[in-house]
Amino acid sequence: MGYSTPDDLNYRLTQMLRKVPGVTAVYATAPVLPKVLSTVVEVIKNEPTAVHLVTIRDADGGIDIDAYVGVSADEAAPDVCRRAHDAIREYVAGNHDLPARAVKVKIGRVG
Amino acid sequence: MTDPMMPPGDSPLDEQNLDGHTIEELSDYLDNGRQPTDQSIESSAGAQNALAALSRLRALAPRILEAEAKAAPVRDASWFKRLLDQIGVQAHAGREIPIRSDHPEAQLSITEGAVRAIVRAVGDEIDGVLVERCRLDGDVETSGEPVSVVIDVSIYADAEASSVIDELRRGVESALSRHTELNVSGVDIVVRDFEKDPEED
Repeated sequence: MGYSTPDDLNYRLTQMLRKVPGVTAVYATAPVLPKVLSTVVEVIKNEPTAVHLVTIRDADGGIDIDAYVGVSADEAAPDVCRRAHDAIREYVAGNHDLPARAVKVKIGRVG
Repeated sequence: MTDPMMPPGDSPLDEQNLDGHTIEELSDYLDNGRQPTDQSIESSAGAQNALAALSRLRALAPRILEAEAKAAPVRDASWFKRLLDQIGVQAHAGREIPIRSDHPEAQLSITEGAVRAIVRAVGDEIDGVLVERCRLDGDVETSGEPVSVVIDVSIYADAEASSVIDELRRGVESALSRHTELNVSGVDIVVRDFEKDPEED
């Protein structure tokens, strides 16, 4: 689990996902608990948003992206999930030099 | 803190300028509204200067504190809640239940933990029932496979059990149909206990 800066694609995707209608939270895709003790000081200084929440991996000529979100109960969760997925692809297509390959969006909480 | 540039004795609050009085004594005198009148203080120019300085300090202190509070960055206490939220969501995630997508490289899912939380939330909305446990029986990770939802509940003694159970079953079926793509083959509700409504205490 690394740390994001405003220039990181991870950070920008996290910020973008928070604005997708129906998305209420972006969770860390990598386990948080084992890292808590070692990073608590940094968390206090920087807030957990500074930790990578969205995971990006190099793929064959592109990047694979994992995102873990909470969604509102006001509309069907699968609809919000598909919307978040589409938003990730659209953002990467317009803001990154490599295309998105596998995009994984997992819902961890509804409501 | 002593100002190293200020020669000793220049402050009206220096002990040597107080004609034998102390700051504590003068501060108490001020607190009491300068009553009863102490002639040794009232007739001392040094003590009078100190009283005036203390009065100014007391008048300024709240304004200084207020200004500092306004200038200080707002501390966001919600980060800790978010951290616990992160840990809780990960700790109870369970299996991944697929969500369909038209995109061949999309992998969409909702966690088993999120689905159990949906069931609990339905129970929370119904008076007279407490959802204790929820289990998804079946291969939830394969789209279309039949899945049975087993819910352990307690019913409050004054609630009508059959009505509450029907309402819970309908609510769970509706919520799971809306928020998941599970093929729910049944919702089995097991009443573990009849309890007194805690809100009656």
